[in-house]
Amino acid sequence: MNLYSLRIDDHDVAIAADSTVLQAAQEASIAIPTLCFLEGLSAVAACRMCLVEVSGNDTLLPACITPVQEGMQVHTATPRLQDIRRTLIELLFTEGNHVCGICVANGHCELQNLAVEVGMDHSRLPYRFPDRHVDLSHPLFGMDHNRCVLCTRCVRVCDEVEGAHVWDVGWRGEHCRIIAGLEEPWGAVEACTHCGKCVEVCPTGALFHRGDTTDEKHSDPARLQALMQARQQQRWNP
Amino acid sequence: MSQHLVIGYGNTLRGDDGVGWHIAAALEALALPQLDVTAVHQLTPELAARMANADQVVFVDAHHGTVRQPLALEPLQAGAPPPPFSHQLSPQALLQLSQQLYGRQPQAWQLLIPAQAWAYRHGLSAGATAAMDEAMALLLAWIRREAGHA
Amino acid sequence: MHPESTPRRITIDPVTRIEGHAKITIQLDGSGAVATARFHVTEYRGFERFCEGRPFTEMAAITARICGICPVSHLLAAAKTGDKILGVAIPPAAEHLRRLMNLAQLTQSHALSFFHLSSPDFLLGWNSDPTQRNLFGLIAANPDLARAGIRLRQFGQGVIEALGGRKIHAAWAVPGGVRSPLSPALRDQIRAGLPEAFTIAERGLSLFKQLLDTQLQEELEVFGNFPSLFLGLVGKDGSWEHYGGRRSGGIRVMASDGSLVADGLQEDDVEQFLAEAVEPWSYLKFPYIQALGPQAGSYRVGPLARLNLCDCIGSERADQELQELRQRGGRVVTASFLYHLARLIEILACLEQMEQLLDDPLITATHVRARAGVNCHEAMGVSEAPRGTLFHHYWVDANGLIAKVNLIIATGQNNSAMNRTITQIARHYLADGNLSEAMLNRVEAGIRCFDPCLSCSTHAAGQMPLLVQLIGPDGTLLEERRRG
Ligand code: SF4
Ligand code: SF4
Repeated sequence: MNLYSLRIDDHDVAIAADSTVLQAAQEASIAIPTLCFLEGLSAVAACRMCLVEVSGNDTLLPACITPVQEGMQVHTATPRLQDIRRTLIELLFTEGNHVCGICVANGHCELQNLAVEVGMDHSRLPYRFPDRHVDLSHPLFGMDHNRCVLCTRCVRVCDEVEGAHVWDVGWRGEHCRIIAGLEEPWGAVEACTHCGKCVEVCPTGALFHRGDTTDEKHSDPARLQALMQARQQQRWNP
Repeated sequence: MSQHLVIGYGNTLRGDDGVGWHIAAALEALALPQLDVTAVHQLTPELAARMANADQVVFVDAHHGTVRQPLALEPLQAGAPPPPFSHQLSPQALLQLSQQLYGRQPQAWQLLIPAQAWAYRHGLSAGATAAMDEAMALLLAWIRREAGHA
Repeated sequence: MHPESTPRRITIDPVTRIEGHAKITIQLDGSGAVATARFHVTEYRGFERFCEGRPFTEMAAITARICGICPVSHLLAAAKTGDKILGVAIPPAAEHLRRLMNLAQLTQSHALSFFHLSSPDFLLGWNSDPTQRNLFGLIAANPDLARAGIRLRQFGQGVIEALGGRKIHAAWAVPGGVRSPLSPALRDQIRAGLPEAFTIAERGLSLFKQLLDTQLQEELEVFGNFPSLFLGLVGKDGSWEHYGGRRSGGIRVMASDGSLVADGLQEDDVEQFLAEAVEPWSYLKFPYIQALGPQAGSYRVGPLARLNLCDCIGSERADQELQELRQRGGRVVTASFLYHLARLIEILACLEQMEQLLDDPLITATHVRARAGVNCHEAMGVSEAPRGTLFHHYWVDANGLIAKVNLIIATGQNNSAMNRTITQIARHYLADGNLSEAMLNRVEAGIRCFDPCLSCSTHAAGQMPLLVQLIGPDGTLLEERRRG
């Protein structure tokens, strides 16, 4: 196995050459905040939370898709990065309609947790109050676009793991949103197998079990990893 | 150990009216030691009991009149009886209550946040969002100063 | 009179509703006597904006934020409406727990009304300086009473937190039941608070009854004493009721002679039974019983209505007090001033019923929630809030998204009665066509009998001074006072 050595913050790391910077950081127990990234799904660098600085490169790079290089010097927590991460979280909060006090995910929400992690206790940016709707057409689940951060985890899990490809990303710019089927009500999409994986991996309260009320959504994305392990390695956790 | 209390209040279903509530909720989430925080819809008499245990209190409220710019803590004195049918008290009235009922009152300030949008909406206008940013910095500085490094 | 003053007519538009004043107008007739008096109330409208397009399961959490004084009332009305959208009967333990929470809510809200807002009215004389006739004056005169009131509020709040938790009580009651059962430890903690609460309630009662016996005779006659209908829930056996559910005997409407205008009415029939009049001078709608018209069909709700409607309360001490109340005011009490006494009796009833509920093993049962999908597309839920009967009416689409919402709140239903009350007071006390302090004190106190709640508007509005205007027969403003 070909190994590269690199330096992340104050740590020297040696790691397989086909690794990403995010994996290298994890190897060195350096926490880089992530949102759209989920172990078991392809990495898409949609949310930009994991941006890092690399010495000699003016551009910030998303750690989840940046391959390691020999001798790389990575900085994960510079003031510039900290400010950018906070701003990104503010943008996510202000571009949707997040009323945590009545949200199903309140208290168990990855977006809320990230806000704490990056020290965003309030927004400095104005709220946009977009006009978005709720889709309750599915017999088991609901989708509240007001709380969607367009991480596309649902799109990927449905396509890559379940193989149903119910979800996709429609429209552009501020109109961008997750669509079911060909922009149909979710309940009308016959491809959906009702497996609930999208609900399980959704980091926010956007996807939820119907009938859930405030604070009641407890997702466990780690179950995806257990499932992947079972499938790929034929190893089942009891 | 000295006790510091922040009481933020307002109606979060009426846009900027809830800015005081939002500020208190944000401070509460920081879980700072030595800081007691409460976010309430309106001021009711039992808060006087809580205030009687504090040395310093800041009331954070939305305000639609002229507000001192830049934002500043304004000292408050006990006084001001509640208006005739209101179920809520003013900060001044609460101070008076605390004194009359429990024999002590904290040193008190109010922080008024300019608010413009009182529509039926959950969330703050751009102006109130900016003011909230300024208010948070001011309150955190106050806590650092008064309570040592919190 | 002040003919030289140049009056400015204040109209209530959505802006002044927020930034303007609470207002009372007193209209004189050609002979200089009071024709009518009106209390102009703000109302919570525009509220539908939060609900339309939202899942009906969120309604409890949303509506509980309307009011800082009685969130539990909206919570329960919303949950009951949600039960009906699901089409389920909730587990008996859930009903017990919801009852317990409503009893706590009634207790703490009544405590605020009696001990802090109204007691200055009867403990400090009418002619006293208005700057002294308030909570501070009360405390100066009787600090223990105000402290006791706070203790009672803390007790009620403690029960609500024991059930719903500190943070999440806004969503504790859900369609189909409640979110969490009550642990035996918390049950015992609630029970431990009861003796003190009883003592405070009894103390309030004996104080107030003594005042009624010695010095408040005129108030009984003049402060809104008139025949009218009363509306509210009763229990199956005609007993006092605050929640409905399995024990419900439906809605009862009673005339002041004790005859029943309606009984066993289901909330679903209410919208056919009631009509809502709209007046150009108020944003508040005036519900009345359709068949009888806006005048004869207007009714009172709230503590006094509930006590008038019931055949008995169903617990020993409260029933004794109910008997005394009826000796004092007749089988159907028409004196609005006795709303205060009714509140105290209800506090006692609440505490006794809490005691009964806590003794029932069912209260700690753990099956507290029924699950179902959307089975009805329109539903009306009802509960008794501290100020009176509260109706929530929702229409949902096939998937359970809210299409339309209508709330009928207690303060609106008492609107006509409040106006009749202050008209009666103004007629009696208007001397020489002038606004005197003694009269204004009484007019304010007349409104406080009903404990109207304005807190669902912005708190800025709640902090407004009261504006009282005296209007001549031709509509000119004769005099204006600003109070508070
Ligand atoms: S998804 Fe829900 S809990 Fe998470 S930030 Fe948005 S509103 Fe808050
Ligand atoms: S619905 Fe959830 S998982 Fe899907 S894109 Fe939105 S936030 Fe991500």
